[in-house]
Parts: sequence; C-alpha cells; structure tokens
Amino acid sequence: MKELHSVVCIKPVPDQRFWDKISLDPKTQTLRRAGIPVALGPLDLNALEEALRIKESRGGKVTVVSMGPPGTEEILEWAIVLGADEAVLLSDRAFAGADTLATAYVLASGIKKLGDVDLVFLGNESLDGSTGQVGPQVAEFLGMSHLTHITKIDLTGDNKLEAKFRIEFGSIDVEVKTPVVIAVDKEINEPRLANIWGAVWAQERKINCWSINDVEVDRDKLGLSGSPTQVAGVTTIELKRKGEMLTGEPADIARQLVKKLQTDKVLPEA
Amino acid sequence: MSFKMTHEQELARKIALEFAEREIIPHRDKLRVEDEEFEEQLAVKEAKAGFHLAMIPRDEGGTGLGQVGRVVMEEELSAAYPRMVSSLHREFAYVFAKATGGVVKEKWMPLILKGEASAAPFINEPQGGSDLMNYTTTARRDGDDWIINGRKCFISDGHKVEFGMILLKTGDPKDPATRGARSMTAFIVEEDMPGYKVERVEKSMAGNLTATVSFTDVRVPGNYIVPPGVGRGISPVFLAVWDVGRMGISAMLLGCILGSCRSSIQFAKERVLYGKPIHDLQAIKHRIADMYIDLAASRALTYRAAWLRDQGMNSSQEQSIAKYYCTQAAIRASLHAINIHGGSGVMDEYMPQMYYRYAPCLIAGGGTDEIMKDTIAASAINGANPVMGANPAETSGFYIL
Repeated sequence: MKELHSVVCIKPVPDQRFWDKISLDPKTQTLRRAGIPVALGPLDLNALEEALRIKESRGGKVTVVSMGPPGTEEILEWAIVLGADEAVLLSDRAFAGADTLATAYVLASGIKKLGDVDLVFLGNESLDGSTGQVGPQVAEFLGMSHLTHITKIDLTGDNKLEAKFRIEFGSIDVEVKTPVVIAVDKEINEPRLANIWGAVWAQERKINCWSINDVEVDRDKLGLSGSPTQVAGVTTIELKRKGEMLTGEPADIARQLVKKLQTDKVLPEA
Repeated sequence: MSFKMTHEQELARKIALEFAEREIIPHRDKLRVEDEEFEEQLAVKEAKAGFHLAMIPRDEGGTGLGQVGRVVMEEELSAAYPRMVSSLHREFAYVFAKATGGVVKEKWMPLILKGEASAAPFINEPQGGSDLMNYTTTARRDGDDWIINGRKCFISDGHKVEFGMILLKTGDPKDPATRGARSMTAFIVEEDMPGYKVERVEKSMAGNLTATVSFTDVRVPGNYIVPPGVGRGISPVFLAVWDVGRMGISAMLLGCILGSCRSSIQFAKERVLYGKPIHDLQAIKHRIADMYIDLAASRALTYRAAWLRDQGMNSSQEQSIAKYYCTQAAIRASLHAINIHGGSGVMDEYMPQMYYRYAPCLIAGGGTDEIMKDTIAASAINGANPVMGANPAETSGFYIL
C-alpha cells in the first residue's frame, strides 16, 4: 500500500477557557484578544486525529499548516506534540486582514509548495468564524475534489477512499479519488491526548516559517485588499432580565404567576 | 544560576495537565467511590501516556525528561487526584531493573518501556521500616540459588506489582565480617515465584492500598541479587527510595498543595458573603497567601533537588529536606483549604478533604519526618552546606541513575 502524505490546515482560536475575558472593541468592531491564549480549534483536533490515524495505519507523514501572525507557532507546536511530523507557518504582514478566500489562497499556496500531497484535512468550520468556506476554497485553488461534513473515512486503495458525509436528515456515502480535501465533523473520531513523547518531538521536529517570498502568490489576492468580503459591522446582543417579586399567600402568588404566564402566552388562556 | 523551566519541561507539565483535565478531573465522582474498574483503566491510560518514561534516558528507550520533568508531571496528576499517580511503581521497576542488570533487565525492560510492568520496594517489616538491623526476613544460600523466608508489610499497591526489590538479611550475626550493615542484601523477587504470597491488603484513610507479602521458601537465582552484591544491599535500596520514592512523594505532596491553592482560589472567587466574594476578606486573603508561600517554597526545594539529580549530583539531603517540608506544607495548605471552603471543605464532593486525608498518608513513605530530620541533622553536623553541598553522584558511592 502506498504511504500517504496528509496535510492538516489548522487555525489559532481563542482558548475556550478564557472566553469570558474576550470583549468587543466598539470602535474597531474587532475582538480584544490581547493576552488571551490561543488554542487549536476543536474540529482542527478531529482533522489532525484522522490524519494521524491514517499515518499509523498506512505509513507516510503528517504536515500541519497554518496562516497567522507570529505566536501561531504555539498551536503548530501542539500539533507536533500530538504527533504531526512537521509544521509550516505562513506568516507575513501582507497576509493580514484576509477573509476566507484570501486565507484559502495562502493556505493553498503553502500546500502547493509542499508538493506531493494526497490528503488535505480541515475542521469543517472554525470555532470563531464558523463560515465553513475555507475547505472548499482551498480545494478550488488546488484543483482537488473536496468533501465536507465528513464523519467517516475508509481508505479503499492507493488512490481512492470511501467517505460518509452528514446531511440534515441522514448521511451519504461517496467514493473519491485522491488527492482530495476533506473537511471533518466532530463525529469522525475522538481526538487523542498528548503522549509524553510529544515534549521530545517538539524539540526535534521543525516548524518552517514561510513569508510572502517563500510561496508563489499573486500579491493582489492577499490580505485585506485581496479580500472580496469585509466585515461591515458587528452587533452584540445585550441580554437584560427583569426581576419581579410576587407577594402574598402562596395561593395568591400562584394565581398571579399563572395570570402573568398567560399574558406572556407561555400558558394557554383558561 | 537559572530558575527557569526548560521549554520541554513546560510542555511536559502541559501534557500532564491536559491529561488530568480530560481523564481525571471530570471523573472524580468515580474515584471518590473507589470504582476499581475505572481506576485500573485510568492507570493503563497513564501508562500509555508514558509519564513513567521521564526518568529513563533516551539511550535506554525513555524520553530523558529527567527528574524535573517527572516531578512537574506528577505534581499536576496529584493535584487532579492525589491517589491516582500510578507512575511511581513503573519508575521503581525501571530503577530496580537497571540496578540489577543482566537477566533481570533483559526480562523486564521491554515491559517497563511499554508501561506493562510495575514494582515496589519490599522494605518495611511489622516491627519497623528504618530499623534495618532487626529485620527478620532472611535468605540462605542453596547452591547457586537463595531461599527467602519472611514477611514485608506496608508495600504500596504491593498486591498489584509484578516484581520488587527486597532488602533482607543474609549475614551471620556471629560472624564479624557479615554483621550489621554487612548483613543486608537486596534481591529481586517476582510475584509468580512459588512461596510469594500476598497475605493481606489494607486501606488507608485516603483510599490507597498497601499489602503485606510473605515469603515462604521462595527460591531466587543468584543473578537476582542486586549489585554491588551480598552484604551490600543497603545502598541500592536507599538510592531507589530516594530517587523514586522521596522525589515522587514530594511531587505528590506538591500536587496536594497546588490542588489546595487552586480549589481555594476558585471557591473564594465564587463564594459570596456579606455581598462580596470571600477573597475580599482579609482572613481569607492571608490564608491564600500562606498557601502560596508554601507552594513556592515547596516547589523551590523539590525542583532543585530534582535538578541536582538531573545534573548527576547527589541530592539525598535536598530530597530529604524537600520531602520533610512538602509534607508539613501539604498538611498546612489542605487545612487552609478546608477553612476557606467552610463546611464544604470536609464534604466528599470537594477536594480539600481529599488533600488533607492524603498528605499524611505520605508521611511514612521514604521515611517519616523524624527520619528525614535525622538524616538532615547528620548532614548538617558533618558540615554539609545546604546550598552548595551537593557532590557529584559518582563521588558518593553507588548510584543507580
């Protein structure tokens, strides 16, 4: 059986344990993330897990790729701790402010540079943006087929695989030829915990940092200026609750409560 | 001089913390009721995660993270649930196999690396642990073999281990050449040897188990004697007790202090009295400060003792100091935690009572407070400098690691 080279695209997202510390800057309409640790997104962990399982069953290697500012190395390193063989960080000021299309373009350019790639894995959507667009866009830039909402993969030959993807009321089984881009759902697997060898691998395995000069790209398609979509505004929902004290004998309070619930259409009229 | 953890050590802590957050902390309810099946599964998961490989050098198949790496991981696991640090017995297995070498190492090392072998020191006897000269367990030569008879007690998880290092008497009290310390020899014993019997298993107030094991005409081959050899059994046993036992116990005590701090700070932020969180109350603040001082001091002592060993230095005194201090500090910190938690602190569902019950269970392991003080005082009286007194390991006799 042929050994496979899997690439896993990962994204730094604010660590969920610190979400209560994140706020919205009303002037810039951006999240105040300073001091908030980043983490691998939950679906990124599923994507990485699937690639690692394929490596363990078929041989080959796993490369993780991310686009982000300096500091993104932290999640790439954690992917190595979990078992990835090497990592690539695409980082350049020219990439900043990218929407999903410009992001996918840069990721695809990095994957092209890696060369002989059989499988590209992503989480179906990110924890913060949740667009679900990057996977299919990467596939378009690479000229590969793509599958989304994948909950099961079976390698059936050197160049083909069967996959199950989720639809609203069921699932569909498909067979595709590699290379292919696969965006996974959380049901696909249970991500592993790090083994203590990970601390050793992190010292031995490499994170390559590639700037705009290391990849073949059209500068007009990068960053904020290369992004066809822009965030026009962000609205936060304010939740306000009003407390009201009912007084009287228990039977009176019960009657008052029922009446109020009927007025609010929670209970039907008597 | 540097007090900074290496990046590798920081990652080791993060790996242990993530393990604790997924595999231990959400399942504390099962640990509280001593669900044996769950505890066994958890121990297997700890073995697969490879925590015990830290103190095994790279060229022997371990991760080579060293004593510091090991201590920070065991500290995190202990903070999650102190009873569930199962790597100590796998570490004992490595130290015993390495110290003995030969067929013992060949047989056990592959299993140790896979996390499938554990061992315990068989030292204590019913009449005492540190009173070696009055041990009654003996071995007599029979051709190339030796025949062991006697009984050892207070062996942590002794009913589960596959093998152990036993310290016993081989000398003749009438022969000046084999009297006293020269009468003690260390052997490897295996649980499937005929005559090896787990007599009873006792449970401590914190739920951890210790076994009494008897030896009736247990036949042991001559190559199961731990070097340097007959009549020289004290040094390998003591070194194992220091390097695995005292360092590991200090790490577990650190976990009790760390866990006490974490749970107290969280509770003090959430618990509201007189209209504000109780961490605003000076009495609570001072308790938290006391706990933190103890955490900082205990860490400094323990990490330094571990670091010295990683540098190939003798840190037996530093380990004794760390173990003594951590024991006292863990009891103090867990009592502070109970006070901060009020009535909840002694309830099963909250962790402070567990730390408070567990810390005293670690007093005897590796030597009581009094034994620690005896060794520390002897060192002080002999002129050792507590900061600069460490000697290279090779100058202080037989060293295993």
